[in-house]
Amino acid sequence: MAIIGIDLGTTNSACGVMTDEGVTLIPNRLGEALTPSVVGLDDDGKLVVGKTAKERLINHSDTTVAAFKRLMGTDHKIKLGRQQFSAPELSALVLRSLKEDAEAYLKEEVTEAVISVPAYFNDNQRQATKLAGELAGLKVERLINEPTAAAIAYGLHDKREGNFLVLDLGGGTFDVSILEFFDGIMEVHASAGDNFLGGEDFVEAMIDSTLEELALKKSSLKPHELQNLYMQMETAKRRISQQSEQLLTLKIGGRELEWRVTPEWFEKLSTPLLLRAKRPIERAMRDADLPPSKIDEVILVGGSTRLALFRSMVGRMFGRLPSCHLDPDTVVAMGAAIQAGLKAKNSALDDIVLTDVCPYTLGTGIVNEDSPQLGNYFLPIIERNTVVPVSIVRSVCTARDDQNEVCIDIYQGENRLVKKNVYLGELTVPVPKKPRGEEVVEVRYSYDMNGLLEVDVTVASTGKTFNKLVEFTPGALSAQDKAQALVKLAKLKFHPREDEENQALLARGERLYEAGLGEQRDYISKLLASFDRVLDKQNLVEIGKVRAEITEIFDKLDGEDWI
Amino acid sequence: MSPWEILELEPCNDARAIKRAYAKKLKQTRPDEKPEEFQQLHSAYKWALKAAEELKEEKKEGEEPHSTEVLAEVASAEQAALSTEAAQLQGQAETPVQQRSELNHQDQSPVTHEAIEQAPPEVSLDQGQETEGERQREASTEKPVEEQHSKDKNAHEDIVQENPIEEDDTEQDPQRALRIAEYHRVLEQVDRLLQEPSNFNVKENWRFLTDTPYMLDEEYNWNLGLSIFERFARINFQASETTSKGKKQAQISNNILQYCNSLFDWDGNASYLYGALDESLCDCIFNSLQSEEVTVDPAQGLRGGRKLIRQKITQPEETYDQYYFGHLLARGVAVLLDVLLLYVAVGFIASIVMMKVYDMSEGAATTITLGICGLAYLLVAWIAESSRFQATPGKYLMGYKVTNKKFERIGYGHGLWRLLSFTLTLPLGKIGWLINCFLGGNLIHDRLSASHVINMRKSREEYLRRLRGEG
Repeated sequence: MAIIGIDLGTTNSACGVMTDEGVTLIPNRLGEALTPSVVGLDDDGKLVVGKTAKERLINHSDTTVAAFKRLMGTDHKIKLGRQQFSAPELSALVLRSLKEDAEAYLKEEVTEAVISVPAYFNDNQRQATKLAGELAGLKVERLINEPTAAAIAYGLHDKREGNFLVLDLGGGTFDVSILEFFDGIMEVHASAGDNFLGGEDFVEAMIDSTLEELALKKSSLKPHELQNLYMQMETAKRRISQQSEQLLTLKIGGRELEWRVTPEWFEKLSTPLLLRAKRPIERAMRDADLPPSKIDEVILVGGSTRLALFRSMVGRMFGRLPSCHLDPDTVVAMGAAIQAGLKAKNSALDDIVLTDVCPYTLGTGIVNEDSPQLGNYFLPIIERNTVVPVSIVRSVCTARDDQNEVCIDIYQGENRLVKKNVYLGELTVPVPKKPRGEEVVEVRYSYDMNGLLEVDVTVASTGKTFNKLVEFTPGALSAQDKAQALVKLAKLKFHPREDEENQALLARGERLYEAGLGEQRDYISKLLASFDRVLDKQNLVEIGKVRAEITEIFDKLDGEDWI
Repeated sequence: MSPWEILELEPCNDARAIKRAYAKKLKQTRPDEKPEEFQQLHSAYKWALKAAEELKEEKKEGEEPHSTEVLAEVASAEQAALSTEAAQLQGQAETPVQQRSELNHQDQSPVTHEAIEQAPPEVSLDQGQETEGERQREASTEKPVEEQHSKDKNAHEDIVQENPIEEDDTEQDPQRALRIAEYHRVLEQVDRLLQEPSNFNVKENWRFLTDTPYMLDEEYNWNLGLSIFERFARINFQASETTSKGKKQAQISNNILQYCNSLFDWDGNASYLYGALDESLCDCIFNSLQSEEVTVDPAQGLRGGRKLIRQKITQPEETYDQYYFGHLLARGVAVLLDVLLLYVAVGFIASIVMMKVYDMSEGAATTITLGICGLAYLLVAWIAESSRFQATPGKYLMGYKVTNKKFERIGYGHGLWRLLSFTLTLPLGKIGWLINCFLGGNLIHDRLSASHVINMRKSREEYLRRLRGEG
């Protein structure tokens, strides 16, 4: 049975599979490789995922949501219509859509997948991704880091040996990894990143600046005005390096405004974001302890690396042009598919071994006696960029006389104060009462290939061991909650597969109607009405013909390269 | 087993051979299947690579003592040639400060978006050191400047003094001259803004910093960051000095510091800043940067959805090893405060209404409203003590909290029980008060309802004091 590889992105998702012929990307129900990570409910309460949902984002923003990957690993929930969803649940819906596409393509059931996550995702976010897989009915035994996946795809494609620097600037996350490829070994030397930096932030900056100049507040805009603005800015961003000036007609606050987008304006807005992108690159270079001369290739991954400003910054940093001859949007999915193939022990791949590192320092809190007001100190147990899987023990002792419990807090981060690091959980173990410092507990952290952490605590005097996979995780679900979530999601149904193209076309028409003016509007509404009539007749041949015609017309009308 | 044995290899200095041996072994020891053996193999591999490098160097030193010099020269020439920013990051200069300054001087690649040019390589380490020396001397001779103007001049000198060394470069490189001019212009703007304490804490007023693409230039970014850091540090240092003398002076607020930190990465360059400036000045900024927790709003960039429901991350409750009961008198005062508060909030209006509408005498109205306030107090106390504040406003002021026997928050059910216990003890009147005097803060109704009123403030202070005392 095939295992599929999935790239679950902030903006777009894709999946692929490894067959005897090699890696193939699986087309979705619209025949496209990329499925926008947008989820919505339509008027009949049916589930809409992907391009159709993305088109509906403008007119139905109440019941449609995008970029929810940013909420992974948090407790937040999003209300769509009358129902509430957590980020893993929404991700599960995207995964389910991909799973069904794969099943239709492979003509067999798919129950297992390798999912890629940003290398810099923390433990909470990884757990949330795993949970999303489970909720979608996929067994996820393996999570793979996105830059690593991309490097695998490149490594296999080029068969080149040497050191690679992978920069993955996606919709919402930025990852940096330094890898070495030799004799079928893919070794990750260092990883760094920023979990809140991506293409969406550039759009966000454009919008913030526009609204500031127009003296408008974001909250004062109507939802559809705001979503329309997002779309216009998104399109303008994509064209920024090709056109010296773009004139947009913004419909905000009930007015119509002319707005000029120039590369100079965009450059100004991007500077703080580019500065943020430089930090992880510098840190990864330091951690890997490799001089830039030893980097054989700089690889760009992720749609946002198409930004000329980003490319030229990287070019200046490394004194060479970065490469990106594989499609930056799908290369991660290809890599994940290869890893999935590896997992299924497809014989052709048996000679590749991957070693990865843990991107964060993991540790615990210890009592800070110098300055208690600042909170506990951080005691690192697994240092960042240690090769994984790894298991390390450190001993700590009681801080007070007659202490009868020791609480091991689990933190992740680089600050010397625990409160500035990410809290992952805690474990409290009972100890015999003794004077301060005489009772010792051994804390063992084990970090596996998926980037998931397990903590064992052994009390030295009694020899008792307490174990847990990090227990108190924000957003984690109990078995009962999980069952409930599964029931809730099972109630949501997709439109029939063959109907999806019609739905997408209708949604697109609606969006064009919203953006259009005067005569154009009348024309679009006439087209949509005629399409509705044809749909009613349920003659598949005729529907196909009319759909093709209208699509062609829409393509002409649609100035926005939207997707 | 020695690392060489693990790799099944004869000791050698050939990195390629080691890699080959490691690859061969690794395919039999897959990390996901044999994690422990893999760790062993991996550390053997890393060790062998290091050993091979050392062996190589030893061999060279032993065999050809003269070649070392030549090699070193080649190495340094190579190093100089790699004058991209990142190359310098890896540069192994003696102190971090030098490393950083070397970086600044060598990176002269012009700012163009298309062309990627190599910077002129002829800048040796010595020059970097010299400039750094000068900069340090300046920093130390600079007095805690009160006159804003002299700062300006100093900063000017800072750059001007650097220039003689690189005058030739400046002539060759008009781009760099432009950058320096821009640096002065922006710095003037910074100084103008800093003259206006009413404006300098508005984040929007600092946006001009990112108006220039030079911000992405390492040299420009570092120098501007350093100059601004120094100005901020002086202002805040001075402000904290005068505040301790009782006067108040405007400080650069934390959000401005965080914003500039995000532009200039002061956190990441802390060691260089400490090298360039006075420790107390640096501390002043870094302490405020440390104290603030930076939280990224996870909802940023989220699109659509009717509403985002944020669940509060429940703060772990305060726990100490020893608790102190609240004092009887203080609790009495707290109750009086609460009733008074209720009287001011509700009773006052109520009594006016009674006097106007029902024509009551002032005394009678006050008595009735006080009675109402007493009853209202019971209701408010129940809700407030069971809520997450665990205290009525009066108790809150005293630093008191109501807890159950495990020193945790009591729920609303338990709170009702507590309320009933209290009303039951009321008829005891003065006798009740008398008994309470001998109960050490754990009063009759507390005992009846299995709850405590704890002086959390004292418990916390004592706990911290013990920690410090013992440390």
